[in-house]
Amino acid sequence: MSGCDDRQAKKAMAALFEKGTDEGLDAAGFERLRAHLATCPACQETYDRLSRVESVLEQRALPKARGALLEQALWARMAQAAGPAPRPVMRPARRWFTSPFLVPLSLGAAAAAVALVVVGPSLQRPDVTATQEWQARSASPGVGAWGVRAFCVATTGTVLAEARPGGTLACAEGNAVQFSYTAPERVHLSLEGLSKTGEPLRFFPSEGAAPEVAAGVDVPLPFSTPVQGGWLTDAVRVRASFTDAQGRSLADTQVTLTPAAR
Amino acid sequence: MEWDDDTLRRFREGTPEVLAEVYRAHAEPLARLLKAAAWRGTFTRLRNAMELENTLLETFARAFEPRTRTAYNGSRPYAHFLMGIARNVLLEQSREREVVGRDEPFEGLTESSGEDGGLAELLEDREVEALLAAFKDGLTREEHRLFELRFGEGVAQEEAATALGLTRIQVRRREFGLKSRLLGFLQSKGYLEDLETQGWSFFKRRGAR
Repeated sequence: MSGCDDRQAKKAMAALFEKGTDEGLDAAGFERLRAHLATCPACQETYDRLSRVESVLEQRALPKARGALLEQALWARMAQAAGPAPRPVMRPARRWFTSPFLVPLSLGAAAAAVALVVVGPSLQRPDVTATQEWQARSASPGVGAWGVRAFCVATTGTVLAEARPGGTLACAEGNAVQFSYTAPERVHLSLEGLSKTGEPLRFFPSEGAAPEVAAGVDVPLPFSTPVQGGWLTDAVRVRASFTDAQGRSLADTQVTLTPAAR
Repeated sequence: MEWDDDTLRRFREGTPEVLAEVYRAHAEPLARLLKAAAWRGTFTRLRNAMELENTLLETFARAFEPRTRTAYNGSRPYAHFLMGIARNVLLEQSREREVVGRDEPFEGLTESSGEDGGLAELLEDREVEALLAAFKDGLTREEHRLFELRFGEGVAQEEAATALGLTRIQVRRREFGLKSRLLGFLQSKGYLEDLETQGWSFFKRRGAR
């Protein structure tokens, strides 16, 4: 048998078989394994045979652990695709973040680590003059209850930094920027920035008109934006526009994003 | 999964929870269909686990692109929609590899056809099943019960722990031990033996020979 001396790959395969994702193989390890398999027929055969055993054990075509790891690989791939490609700007100079950066950051980080405040039905239309929670997160305390906060989230889901409305968030390449909004009523929301070259960067929504979002406090937006591809090499001012159904402006807030050293 | 108006809207918007739900609902059925097709002679490369996983990944990645999400109208079964994408993925891959394969109609595949594996697959599965049966013969009564609960009946670790009077941690550890021994057993029976190389010390340490 032709040899493969990549012991890490073999250990990874065994760990996947023995422990699955439960202290077995994580997403990064799975990606490394897949990269190795792509170039190693011997390990591919082993992987195949182990997969067959797992399939028979679980009575599944796609063993659960592999399905879970593939799911993570899918989100990671979509995240990579979401990065704004550095390319010449055509007129009109308008670049869109065409695809969302999904679950690992936006769910893992935003929903858990970002200290999400769950808003119950009773808060759907709060009295903004009486609710401190809303005031504290407003772009203009005492005036309105609208605001956007930005978080720099590591690939592990850890929140590295945050910025309140009007503040500045430093986020290094390889991490992701996650926004959350606070709005006292249902409203249409869009988040756009300007790159140093004056090129519009659209954070939310990724395309189309500003969607209606529910009232809430610190509601994470469904997508995070990975800091990759060189779009955050200088300060980017991100403007959050809250508008009503007729497109009339209800509030504008701003957060500035800046690059940070890794 | 149910596709009501709200689900469809959130899917089209790319809501992560909905995308995850769609993936989890359709990954296994799609894998079954692709595998069944492979063993019947269409796109035989999908008999290889990695090829199958790559195709699944590529299919879902395309299916979840914003434009593709918008193209799904919610009325036809999403499984059929996915199969159409999978078929395109496979045909493109074939063209890239300059493989002229049999282009059997994917649309003809149904959920039930996923159960209809080929004879070769059946024989391979029987080989594995026979190995597993032999392995189980060597287990203690308690180990056998755990093996059956977790793999035969597919009960969750918590439930298995309750049934066996163990903690979940104990079940997890014993399950890990069982799988480690199973790896050694498979090697000792030659199922993995021919794959052993000089660097194959991981299996050697478990030395089931």
